Amino acid sequence: MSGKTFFTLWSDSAAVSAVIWLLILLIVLYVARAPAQLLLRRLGGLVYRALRLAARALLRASERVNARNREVMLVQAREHQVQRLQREFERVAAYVNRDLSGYPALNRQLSGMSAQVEEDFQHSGEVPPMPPPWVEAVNSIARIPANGDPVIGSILRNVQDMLDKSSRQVVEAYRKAAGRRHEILQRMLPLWRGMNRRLEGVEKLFAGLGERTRKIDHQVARLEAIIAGTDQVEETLKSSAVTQFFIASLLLLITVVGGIINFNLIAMPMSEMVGGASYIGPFRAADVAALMLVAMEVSVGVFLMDALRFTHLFPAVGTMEDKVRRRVMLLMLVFLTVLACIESSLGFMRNLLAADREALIQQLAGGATATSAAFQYRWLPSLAQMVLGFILPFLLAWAAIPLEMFVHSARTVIGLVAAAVLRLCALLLRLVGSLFDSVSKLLVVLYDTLISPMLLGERWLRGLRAGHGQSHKKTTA
Amino acid sequence: MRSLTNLCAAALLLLPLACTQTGGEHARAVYVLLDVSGTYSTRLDAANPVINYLLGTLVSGDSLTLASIDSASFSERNIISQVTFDARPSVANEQKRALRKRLDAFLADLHPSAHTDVSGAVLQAAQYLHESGAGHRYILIFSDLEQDLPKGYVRKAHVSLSGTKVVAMDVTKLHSDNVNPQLYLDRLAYWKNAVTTDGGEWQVVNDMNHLDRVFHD
Repeated sequence: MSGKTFFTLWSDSAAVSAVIWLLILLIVLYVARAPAQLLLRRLGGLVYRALRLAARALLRASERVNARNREVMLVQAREHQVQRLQREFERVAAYVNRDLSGYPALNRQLSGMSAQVEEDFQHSGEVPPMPPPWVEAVNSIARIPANGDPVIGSILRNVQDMLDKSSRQVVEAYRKAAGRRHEILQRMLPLWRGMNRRLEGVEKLFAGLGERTRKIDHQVARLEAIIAGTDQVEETLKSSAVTQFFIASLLLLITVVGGIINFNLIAMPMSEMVGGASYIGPFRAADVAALMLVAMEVSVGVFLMDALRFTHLFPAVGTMEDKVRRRVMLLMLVFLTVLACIESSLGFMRNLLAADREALIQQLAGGATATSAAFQYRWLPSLAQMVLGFILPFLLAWAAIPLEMFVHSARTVIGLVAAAVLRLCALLLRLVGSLFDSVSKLLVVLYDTLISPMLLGERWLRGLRAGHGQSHKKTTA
Repeated sequence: MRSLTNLCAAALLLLPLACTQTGGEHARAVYVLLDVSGTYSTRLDAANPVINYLLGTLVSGDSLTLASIDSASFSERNIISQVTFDARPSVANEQKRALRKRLDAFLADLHPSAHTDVSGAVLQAAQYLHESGAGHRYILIFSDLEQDLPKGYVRKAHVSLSGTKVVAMDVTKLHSDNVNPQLYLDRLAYWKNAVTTDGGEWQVVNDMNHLDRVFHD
């Protein structure tokens, strides 16, 4: 039975058939109204609740990610802060070892100077000999008038002369003693100055120590805040991690570009070393070797930076005994220099090969050997390539610092992004759930709208029945 | 256990060496056939830019063979020069110079042949290329493709040309072709059929500016 035959089952007229089918549909819908609407409501509710559950689960996952992220961030910050503190203490230790190790000697010097100054002071305090007490009595006798007696006059003159002589001797002795005291005081002057200088040095030393102590106090306060894990610290760390992530990404991008330049510089001449006809899988062996050389430079750089304690990518290197670590550092520096020399020679070889190839092409084209200015100054790009080849490995070695920054900050940033995505998904699920709920309610209303003629009929019948019942009651009453 | 670990480490270190392949599927082998018969020998200058192009583009590991097509071409005697370029580019450049010098000497002392044995030359080329084991194989034919075998010579043997691209370069039109172009078209169709039957790929390049397409397709 075709669709058309089925449609015109009731009548040959399509309009009549359509009306009959519509009536049948309305009756069916009216009869199935209660279960159909229940089904729609239940389905809407089911999807709504399921999606809300899923959204809640995603929110919980987001919270877990956030908590984990916070934990990792605080641990990283704590480790970093401890390292900074450790470095600060090391600086103080170096400061104390360097400057305060001379303190006992300085103390001895100051004590010696002090004893010397004290002794000199005592010497400078020595009173010069006073004129003997009998001088006054003799002076009084010498002033007695002679009264014309030549013998007495002669005696008195002798007494006077003796008195004058004695006075002169006393004055002379006094002058000598004063001179000696001045000499002693003169000698004390450089001692005082020396003591002053040394004491100023000590003052500066303690001022420096005070400065360091204040820094340590600041670092300790920060460490305490990190351990306390306050919201302010968390926000600061998040912001810092995002900033670091972008800076590190930018620096790494620059390093990658540098690496590509380096690779192109050495790939061609590398074929002269490892052969241009060999392949490792689908790649030319020369290209792989050039890439390996660049990778080795970066690796050596990473180890060097770790040995210098600029980075902490390999804890095993950082925790080595200082003597061993210094040896590793020297070894890595030697490796890096050797690699730089190899690159430099490859840079030189590159120019030679390019010149040879150019000459061959010119020869094949039947041209004479070029003698233009560009060829005369061919050594210039050759030199530039050599210098570039030597410098680039050392520059690539610094890639370890942005790499460490990137690794550390990427963990936090990825966590933050993951938490945000989870929250967004939860929001979307809630929205979709609400949409389903609303749609199911809308469908119920639509259902009633579709069968509204039947519902109107039902209401009319009920009203009629109710009216009939009331009139019947009135009659019986 | 420790020796096993050492063995594994050694195996890992040697893995790249084991995977290293010289020439092979990455290498290109080109066999250039130069028709020195009376009808074409004056046109051989057309081969010069192509050979120069090849010397400029072929790299270490690739090989280039120059051979002549004369009255009896299925012979090693017809090989003018054969070289596989050294792994070191500087040495490869020297080889290219030497090859160019030998070709110049050959062209300077050219003796046109009375007959043209194209089939024998293609057979010889196919054999050589097959032995080279190169991943990309090309036979470039500078000829009018007019086969003219001496009496008693038979060229019914078939050598597989699978994986080989046979390119007819600068196929000149003979006087008879001018009279009846169908002869020219029939000749090209004959060689196309012969090459494709033996598993090869056939191409005709008369414009040297389109040479890139031959090696980049």
